[in-house]
Amino acid sequence: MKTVKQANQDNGVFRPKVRGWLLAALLLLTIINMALLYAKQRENHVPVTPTQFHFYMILQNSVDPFWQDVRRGAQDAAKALNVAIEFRAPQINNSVEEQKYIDIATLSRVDGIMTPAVNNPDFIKLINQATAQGIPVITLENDAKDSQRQAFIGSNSFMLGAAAGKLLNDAVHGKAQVAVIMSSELEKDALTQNMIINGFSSTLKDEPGIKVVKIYKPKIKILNTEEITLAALRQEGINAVFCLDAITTASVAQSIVDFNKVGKITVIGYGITSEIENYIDKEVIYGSVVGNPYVIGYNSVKSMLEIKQNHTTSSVTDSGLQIVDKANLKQYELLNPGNKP
Amino acid sequence: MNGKEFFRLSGLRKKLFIYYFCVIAMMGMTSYYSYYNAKFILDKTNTIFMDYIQLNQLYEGINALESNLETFLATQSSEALLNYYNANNRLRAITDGRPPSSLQDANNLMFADIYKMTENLIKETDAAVIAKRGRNIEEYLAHFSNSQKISGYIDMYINDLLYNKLATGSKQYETTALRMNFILGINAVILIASLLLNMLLALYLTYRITKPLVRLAQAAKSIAQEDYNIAAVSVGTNDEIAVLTQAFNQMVDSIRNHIAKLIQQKKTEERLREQEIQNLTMKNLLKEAELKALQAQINPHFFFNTLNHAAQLAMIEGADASSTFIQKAAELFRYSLKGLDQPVTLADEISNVQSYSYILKARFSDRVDVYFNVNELLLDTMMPGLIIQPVVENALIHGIEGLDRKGLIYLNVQYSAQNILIDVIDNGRGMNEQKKAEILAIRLDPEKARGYHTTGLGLRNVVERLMLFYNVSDASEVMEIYSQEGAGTRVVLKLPWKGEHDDVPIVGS
Repeated sequence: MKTVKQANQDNGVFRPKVRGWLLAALLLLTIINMALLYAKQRENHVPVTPTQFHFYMILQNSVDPFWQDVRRGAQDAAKALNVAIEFRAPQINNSVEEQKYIDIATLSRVDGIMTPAVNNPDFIKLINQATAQGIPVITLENDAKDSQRQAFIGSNSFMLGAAAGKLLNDAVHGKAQVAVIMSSELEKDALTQNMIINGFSSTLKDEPGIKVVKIYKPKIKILNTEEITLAALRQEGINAVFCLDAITTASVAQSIVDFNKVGKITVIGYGITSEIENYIDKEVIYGSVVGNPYVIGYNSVKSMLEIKQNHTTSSVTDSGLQIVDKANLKQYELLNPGNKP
Repeated sequence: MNGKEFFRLSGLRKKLFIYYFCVIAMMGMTSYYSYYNAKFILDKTNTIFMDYIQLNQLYEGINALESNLETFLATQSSEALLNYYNANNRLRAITDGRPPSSLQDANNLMFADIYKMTENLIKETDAAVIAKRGRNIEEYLAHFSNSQKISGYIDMYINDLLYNKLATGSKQYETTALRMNFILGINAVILIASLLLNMLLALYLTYRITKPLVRLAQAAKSIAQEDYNIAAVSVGTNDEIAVLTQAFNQMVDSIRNHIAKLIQQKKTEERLREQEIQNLTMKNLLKEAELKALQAQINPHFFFNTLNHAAQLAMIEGADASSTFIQKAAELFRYSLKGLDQPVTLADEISNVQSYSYILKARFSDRVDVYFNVNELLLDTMMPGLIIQPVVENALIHGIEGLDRKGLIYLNVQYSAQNILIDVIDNGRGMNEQKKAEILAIRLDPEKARGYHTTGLGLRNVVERLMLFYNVSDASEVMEIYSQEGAGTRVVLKLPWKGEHDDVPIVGS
């Protein structure tokens, strides 16, 4: 009878201890399997949210941090507003390629085109062709005022130039011989650049000690900025340089370091890259006027959606600008980590 | 076995079921995992290739459309037109077949562009064909160049898309290959783990399930070899085997009890039989004794009755002397018939000797005289019967008979501090020392003590009976013999005051 009693205490197939181990092993195997399967399924499963609109954004080039930021802003907006955006960008600035992309977008009957514009007849014709087919067009940073584009989003060029002038005045304390180096896309956006120079000049008009000595117009970007810098540096009495795009700014700063002119020449730049941030930190560049590319990108998507949904939006949006110098560099870096390599 | 019974999961069945379930679940999970991985990889490859196939079809379709259009524009042949429309239909079928897909993905967006552009291309080529047939040269040239431009865009897009696909595909392949290795590793580990676990499980469960059976089998073997002294089998489970074991244990117990009972019974029977045999022997002995006793007693009784009758006859005839004589002889006989085992009083003994002496007197008239000198205080003393008469007879036969002079026998009974002393004195021939020593050297011999006749008892018999009666081992304690050859013999019987027998009264105190 004793044995029977003992047997009654042990009801299962296994002894309690063994049962525990087995259960644990089984559970472990199951959990591992489930976890692996789940991970697999999640990876396999791209969340599909059908988007309402297919927008087409053309960037001026695929290397300039400015345009990368525009792209980032547009991507974020697209995600937030649940639209799809297709990005196209020529390797380097090339308005012919931009025009081709506008044509493709029109042929592809996308829901909206966002592009930097050139105020020339070919470009205007393409924009008008698109709008004629019911495809709204928003111009970015560079406007084509004469076209039928629905809206322009970018910084006010005149204000940009004025801000640069003010920054220069702060740097040189009312006494300087200034050289202005224009961007290579002169023929494309001469209007914009001229507006900048206008703003720049009108700010310095009241300063008798400051004179714009020469305006350089480079033929091809990057390749001859060094040459231009050299020419500018050789020009007697020049102690300040204002550059009209980010690549030129960095290139000029590099040349100044190379020719050991740091501190002797004040550099006012345009745009921001991690390189420029570096030069500002080392006081090679006094400061840089920076547009808000991210805001441009973001607002363009927002405006386009407004056009699609409400058929109206403000025709010009100033995306604003800011000055980055040694004083607020750290703060800027903190707020815009995207420039870090 | 009915259905209900079939699905009832009792003990052993449940164990086996759970075991199989565990194994199947484990192997199933492992296989499903492997299967899922394989399917996953296949799916991935499939989607990549599906896109390639579609792009290739598109590319070929557009090329066919373009070349057929060119041929038609150049030749205006109806065959070329037919070919063109065929190509056109094929291309439309491709673009119509594209399912609407999510637009979030850059590649999908490009796909959408390509399809839309293809639609526009078809429009342009159609317009070109119509213009050509309308012989509107300017218009068809414009549409043709437009179509060339669009197909150029499409080519560019397809190339871009292919490049993108290749780039993402190769990247995907790299990660997938890495993952594949990882997955294969995990697969192997899981496979080996489940194999090991299964093997352990199989070993353990086989052992677990068969152990009680093995124990039971061993126990059963022992029982079969008639070794019932085995411990109760304990299996430690709760299934049919446990029930079996319990039943087995009970059976062993029952068998053991049964065997014990059988042995007990057999012993009792043997004892009974022994007792019966003993009883039977005793009965036989008794019967034999009775027979002997009858043989021994028939004659004396008959003789005694005859003597009595003779005495009555003599009295009736008036022969008083003869009557008395026969009477005495009868008394003598009767006394001897009483049996030797009954104690008698001294008075009985004396009276018996007087009867005997009367007969002697009648037989030998004046040749022998018997004198009695008995202390009357001792007459009630108990003693064995037929003790004194044989001594007197012995004195007559061995002392007086053949004697020239007159024989005298004295019987004196007195007592001392220790004994009652019975003296039988004769003036006969006396006995030599050797005979005296022989009598006194008597030891008790139970075998020889049997079978003496009640008549004619010798001295030897008297001594033995006295020794028995008073429980002494030495003859000299009950008898003393004084003798001188030619002068006479004195035999002294010493009866102790107190013997073993409590019924011997203490006299004279």
